[in-house]
Amino acid sequence: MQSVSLQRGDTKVFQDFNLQVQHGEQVALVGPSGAGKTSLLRMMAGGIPSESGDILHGDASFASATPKELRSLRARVGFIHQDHALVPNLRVCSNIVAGRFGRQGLLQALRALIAPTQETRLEVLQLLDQVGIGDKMYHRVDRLSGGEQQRVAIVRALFQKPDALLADEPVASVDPERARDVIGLLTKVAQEYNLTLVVSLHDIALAREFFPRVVGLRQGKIMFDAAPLDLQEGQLQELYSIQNK
Amino acid sequence: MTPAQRERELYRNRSRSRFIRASNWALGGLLAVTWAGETIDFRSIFSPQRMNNLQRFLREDLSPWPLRQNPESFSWGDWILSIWNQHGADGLLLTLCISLVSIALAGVFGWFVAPLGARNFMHQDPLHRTLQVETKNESVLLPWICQGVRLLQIFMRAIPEYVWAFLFLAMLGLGAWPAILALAIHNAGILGRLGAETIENLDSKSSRGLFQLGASRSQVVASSIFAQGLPRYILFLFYRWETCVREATVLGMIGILSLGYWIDDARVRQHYDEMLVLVLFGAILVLLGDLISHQVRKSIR
Amino acid sequence: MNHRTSTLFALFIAALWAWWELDLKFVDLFPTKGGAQIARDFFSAAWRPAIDYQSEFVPQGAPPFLWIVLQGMLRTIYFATAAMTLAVVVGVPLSALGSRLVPSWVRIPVRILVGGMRSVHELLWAIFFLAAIGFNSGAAVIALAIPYAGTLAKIGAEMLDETSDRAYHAMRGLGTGKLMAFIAGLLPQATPDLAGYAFYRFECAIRSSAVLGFFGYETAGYYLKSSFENLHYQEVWTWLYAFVLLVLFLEAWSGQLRRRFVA
Repeated sequence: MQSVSLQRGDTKVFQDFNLQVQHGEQVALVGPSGAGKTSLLRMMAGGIPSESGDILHGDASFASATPKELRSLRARVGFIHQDHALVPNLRVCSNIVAGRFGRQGLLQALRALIAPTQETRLEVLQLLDQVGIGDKMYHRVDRLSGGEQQRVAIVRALFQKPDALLADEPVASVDPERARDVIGLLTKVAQEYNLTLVVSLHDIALAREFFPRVVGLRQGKIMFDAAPLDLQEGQLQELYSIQNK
Repeated sequence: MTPAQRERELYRNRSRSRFIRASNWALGGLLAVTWAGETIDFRSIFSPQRMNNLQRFLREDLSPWPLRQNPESFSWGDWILSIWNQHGADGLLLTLCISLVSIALAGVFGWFVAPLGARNFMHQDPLHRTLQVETKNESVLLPWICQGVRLLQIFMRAIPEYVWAFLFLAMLGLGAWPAILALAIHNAGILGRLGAETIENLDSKSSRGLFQLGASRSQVVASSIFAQGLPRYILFLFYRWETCVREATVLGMIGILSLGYWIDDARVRQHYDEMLVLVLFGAILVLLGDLISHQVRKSIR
Repeated sequence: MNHRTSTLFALFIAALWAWWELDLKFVDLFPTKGGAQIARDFFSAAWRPAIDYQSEFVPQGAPPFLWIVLQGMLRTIYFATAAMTLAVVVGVPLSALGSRLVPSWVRIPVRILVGGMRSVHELLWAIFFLAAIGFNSGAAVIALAIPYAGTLAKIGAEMLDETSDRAYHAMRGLGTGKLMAFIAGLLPQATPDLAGYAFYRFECAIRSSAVLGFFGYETAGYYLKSSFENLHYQEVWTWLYAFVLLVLFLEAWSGQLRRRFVA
């Protein structure tokens, strides 16, 4: 993925909005709730179409994609949902193989769901080990803790073999200590697999600690776009304080 | 241990319920016996002779009799109206009336018996207040009464309406009572059970408070349980009424003058065209019942 | 008077009107001479269900009575199982097509079809098939399956609509096809509810298939009817008790299943 540019005219969420993310770059989106972080991420994943303008993944364009191309484009972008969006009463393994359904035909997908090959199973196990929950491979998801479910969601996105990983408030539902672990893990695996990573965060401290680039978003506009070291307190205050006006 | 071995071991040690697995095997076995056995014969449905029957049935028997006799002067409207006037309207009216009386009886009996079937209530220590265990002698009997009531409810609903009606018909003779009793008994069994479950699931706070004030069980039932449980019970009541309408139609087939009687009568006389129209009348009544019940349940919820 | 009370009130007014319309009298609940005798004989037989033929003229080599009961109950279960299989195979896809996942031009025709299937009672379907293709057990099973599939489809669609669709949409977001996202994302979550309901309907199907016996199919109703008509009331009670035992067994089983599904 070379660049993502995004524009959405005539809507209240975004107007003539532009953002470029280089391949392999790690970006944190910060800003008050309602700033448009979730909408932005979902547009980048092709979940909601932009009204005008275009989203580009490398050379591929979302706006001009046929439904079939759109499917394969979506399969190239991993998405980690705020509430994990896992199937609670399936086992971890079955939830993870779902990551690749976007690339598979119906029969192939059914096979992976019901009787995955050894190759698939070992791949799943290896990924799970990487996030430290290999032993839970055959547990039901609803028996896992919140943090463990979060890891399952991450592994599902990794199993998808995407070019880019988008995460919407991945730590909204875990305590601060766990939050650091999860974000650390995300940035680590993104680096290992050379993935572009865009994460929306509430917690500015976390963003500054882990990400080389922080984008401040408010009411659909970019307030700042800088490396953490260059960030000034004034900018941060402005980002949140205007809300109180 | 290689990763492959470890994976197999994790798989083998996955948590699973033996009971659910046994159930799956039992289900599989039942399916195999059913479909491989000879009780149900699907193949001969498609024998040439049956296909011939079917063709004749669809082409000739179902087309209106007057149309076959005298195509020129035939009018669909007149024909349907004549069936309506002859038996249709009466049959529908009786069907509707039977369903209404039955559900009212079943509803009343089911509701007043319901507290007797609620396990948390029919306990020596109702709602587990653990304040003081009642030492009155009769309260020792309560769990037994409760089990007895539940068994009776199961008995009432285990026997199909149709069988009840068949049995009562011999005793009471022709009339609406056999059908009404049959529907009322079956549905009182079901409603009693649903009512008991509703009561068991009620928020027990206010009842607990009343018990602490020294109220007796019957006082608590009258003042708190009935009022709290009624809304849900009404939902069940209307849901069962839908079924009553459906069943009241067919109970006619054993000789009660509801719509089913005339449907069966038309079948025996081999007037299949008439039978089809009567069945459609019945279907419209059922759909209307569903619609009314749906609206009522929506407005109550 | 609030909404609920008035609804209840309306229902009872309607019931009173129906009572008057049917010209019902409590007196008629007390059977006349002949009926009273039958009632007395019948209910006094309740305490002594038959364990052997009541008739004195049992043909040589006839299997024991209890064996007949077992066979009749099994055949009843087979009819119900076959009908439920068809009902699930047809009803579950129909419930998906009737849920909010599909566009309304598919959903509405499907719901009308389902309503039509449901609105005609299984026994009416059965006598229709009887008239159309003659006496055939397969046709009877299909007759049972039609309204059962319709009911399953209706309730199933409601259950699917109430199931969380987060995982479904997440999978769609990864480019998964609609069918696969349904199978992997939505169906597993709705399965406990669907299975519980199907189990309950299986119990109903057993009752319905027993009643099919009144039309000549060799299920429980067939034997019960002939025993009753031969005035062998003790045999009738054996059949009734066999039925209650079966329902008790199913109830215990489904209770256990529910506990494990929920936990």
